[in-house]
Amino acid sequence: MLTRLRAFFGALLRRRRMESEMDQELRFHMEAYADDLARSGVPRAEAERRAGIEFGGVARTKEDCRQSLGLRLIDELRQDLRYAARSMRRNPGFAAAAVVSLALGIGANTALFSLLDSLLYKPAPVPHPGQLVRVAEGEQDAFTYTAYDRLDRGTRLCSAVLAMEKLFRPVTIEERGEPVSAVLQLVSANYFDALGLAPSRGRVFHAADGRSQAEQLAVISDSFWRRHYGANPAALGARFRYGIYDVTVIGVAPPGFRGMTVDFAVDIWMPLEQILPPGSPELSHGRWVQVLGRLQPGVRPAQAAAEAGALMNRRVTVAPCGSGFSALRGRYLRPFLVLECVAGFVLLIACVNLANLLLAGAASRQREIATRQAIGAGRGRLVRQLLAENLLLVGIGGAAAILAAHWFSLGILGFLPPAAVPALANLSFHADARVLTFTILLSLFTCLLFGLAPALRATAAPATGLKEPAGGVRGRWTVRTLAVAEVAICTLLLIASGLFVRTLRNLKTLDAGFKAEGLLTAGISLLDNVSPLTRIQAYDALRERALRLHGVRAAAYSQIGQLSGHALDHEIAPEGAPSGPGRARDALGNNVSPGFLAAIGTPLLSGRDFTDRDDAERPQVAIVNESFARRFFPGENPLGRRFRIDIDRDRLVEVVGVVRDTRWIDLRERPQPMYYRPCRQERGTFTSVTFAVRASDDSPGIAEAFRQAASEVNPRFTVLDVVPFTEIVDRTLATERAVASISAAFGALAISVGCIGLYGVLSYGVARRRREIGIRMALGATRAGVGWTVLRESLAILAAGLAIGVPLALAGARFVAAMLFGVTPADPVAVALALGIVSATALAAAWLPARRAAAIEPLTTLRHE
Amino acid sequence: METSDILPGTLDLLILKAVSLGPLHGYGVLLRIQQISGDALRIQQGSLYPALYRLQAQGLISSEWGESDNNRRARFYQLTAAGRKRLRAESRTWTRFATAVATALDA
Repeated sequence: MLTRLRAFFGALLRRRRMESEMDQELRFHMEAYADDLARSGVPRAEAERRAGIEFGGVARTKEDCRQSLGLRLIDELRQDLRYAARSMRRNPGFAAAAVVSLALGIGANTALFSLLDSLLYKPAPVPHPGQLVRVAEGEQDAFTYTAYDRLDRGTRLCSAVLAMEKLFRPVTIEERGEPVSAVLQLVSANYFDALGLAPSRGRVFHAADGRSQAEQLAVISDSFWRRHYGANPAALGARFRYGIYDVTVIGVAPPGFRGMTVDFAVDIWMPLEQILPPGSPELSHGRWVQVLGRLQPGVRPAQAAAEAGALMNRRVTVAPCGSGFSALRGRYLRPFLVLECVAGFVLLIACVNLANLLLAGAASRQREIATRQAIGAGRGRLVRQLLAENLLLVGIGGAAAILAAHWFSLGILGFLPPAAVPALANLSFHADARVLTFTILLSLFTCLLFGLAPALRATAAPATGLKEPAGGVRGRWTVRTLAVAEVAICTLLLIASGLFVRTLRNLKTLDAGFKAEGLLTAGISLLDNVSPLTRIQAYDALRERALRLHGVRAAAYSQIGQLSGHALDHEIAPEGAPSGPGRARDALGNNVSPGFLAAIGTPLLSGRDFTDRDDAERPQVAIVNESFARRFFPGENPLGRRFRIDIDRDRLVEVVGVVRDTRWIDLRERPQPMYYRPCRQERGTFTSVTFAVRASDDSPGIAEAFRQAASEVNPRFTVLDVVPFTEIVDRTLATERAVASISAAFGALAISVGCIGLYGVLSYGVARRRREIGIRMALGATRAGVGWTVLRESLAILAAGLAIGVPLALAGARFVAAMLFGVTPADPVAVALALGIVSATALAAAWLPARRAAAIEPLTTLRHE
Repeated sequence: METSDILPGTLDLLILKAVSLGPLHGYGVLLRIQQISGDALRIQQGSLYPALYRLQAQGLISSEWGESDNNRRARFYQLTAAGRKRLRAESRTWTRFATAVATALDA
């Protein structure tokens, strides 16, 4: 087998040499034979003639020789492709339409595959990623360092366990006085050894380095090394400042490795044991490290879970984590899958359309095919020829699809909110081996899908092709069935995108309990080592300063920003009610400054707002929302009632005001019971707060003026993310907007492709029935009647398509019900809209062919035939 | 002298036999077969080369370019180890088959 393959490829690669050798060999044979004949007395010329005759057809022999080497298939394929290229050039319009629709269809699928792959499946570029497991306790996947340490020291089933900071962010490091932004992650010192990664340059840190405080070490990513150090080998040993630390770069991680968190591409790793020496409170307090273990060969996750549970003294689960951690995975998996389905349907419709066009084309080529069959071409050979033409189309389309996928990917990622931007380096489109394999397989599948049926049909009836005018009743039915499928898919896609667009609209116009317009938000932190009260006083100073800014009507702050996706859950016990755990007792809590509710535009329904005098010395007070009042004080006036909060059960808090419900975590959340407390009365570190500034006109100057004011009030303030609140609202809708826009775009694409398809089918039908129509007219059919028959055909296709598409859409919509808001899966408006658009398009597509049919002159048609 | 066309499938065997006696060019193979069969077997010249190429692709014979008797460049074929093994096996099969047919016909 191997020798045979070698002979085949040898012949293939050294084709020219092989051919000339073959020539030479056969010539030698004939000359030698002629020599022998001449020697036996035959005259030279006669001898050569006889040698030639007895040898037989040289070309035939050569062909047989080539076949012996297995070259004939390749030769035929080459012929087929050449022929295909010629017929493409003959019909460039069709070729262009086919290539473009394939490029778009395959490209969209490739882009989404690449996204899903990097989000879900792509194994981290470390040795044996299948051995990696993550440890979690229920939904929670963060632990204290102490808990990690116990597992690391005690484990027998894992060959190594590593810890890494969960919520790491871009930080500013200082290099020779220049600030540089980089994503820095603290990891356990055994990080690289546990992952089995060797540095591409320098060295990595090891567990022993974690115990030494001599020099703070860092390993940088290959990408950071190239981006920041210009791939200079001198980067090893370079120093930078991070906070109070002087850090030395000791090595570069292997190319392509950006950490074990998909959401953030890490630039710098530092051993957390160096930053937090033994005894640091952060080691035993706060669940802030994620734990990743490498299983010993043959160990099952369940066994490791039992061991980890015993060591960490809690009930934990252990699950494979070869592709790394990702919070985005949970958020974007479903939307991406939905978009992948939509893209799949777009490709399907492109296939159906192509199949239809090819059928029409094949029918008009029936004479050519019949002729070739008549002179002896086998059916397999003809099918292969037709498939080769499709292969050429798909080959060009697939190559273009890689480019299209790049743009699609940029478009889709452009919808991601800024919070997800650090993930872009990991999610952006790379045409790697996995993606290319997907594209090639999808292209081949596509080729079979749209190409095989037409090719088989075209070569089906050898006997009749030459005698009858092209096409029978069966051919028209296939074409019609495909047109029905197109209408059905269009309907399906339009209903789906209608639902998503209406969801987005509903969320945008939702009365969320606050006024987003004209509101500016800004994150302010004060990380200095001062008391919480000092921080609150600093924030209050900024609040007063901001209120004096020109145009500012209100300025206030809250501990947790609105729609930040975060909230603190607390257990509430109304005074006099029995206390105990349970969901029904939970409420969201937030600590705010006086004037905060007015600033964000949440109306006070009764009672009063907080004032500066509500401090630790005064009675404990709270403002609650309507849901809170309904749940904990049903049917009563909540004002003056008191309740306890789980953080300090000895303290009774009095309700002094009631406000409207607001959406706090995100817009989809049902309004939940919520209470607000004055910052000065609540404990907490208050290292950062979110300001809400309402200006009478939202001039861009306000943001700058506020920044300025912040640095004047306290130069130690860190100001982050000064943005209009409308942008925060937009960010929470990023997924919805992405799904709505992309599915609407795909819907538009589908309907235009479908429209072209239907037009093609109808006008092709008219062209073929010219003679019949001519006879009908000659026999007295009216023009209107003839036009009507064409319209009737399109109406029949439309009706059938709708009858299939609408139930399909309604069934499918139930799977996306969780992504909808304010609409039912069977939303009548979305359905009606889709029906309207599809019907209008179908009629528009039928209009021209119908008019052409009506305009047929019976006399010319009949003479022409 | 009566000559007969060879049975389908036996050409490969004859070629292997011919080149087992020493390297030969294509024309030589033809002559050798005629010679060792006492001119009883006739080979279609056109079918010889495809068979040579096929056997070479199967690794049963190998070839290299050399000088012919009359100093012309020619491709010489020779048996490979695999070819020798195949020749032995095929010869046995053929003898068994031929004997069986002869026995049957004599009966």
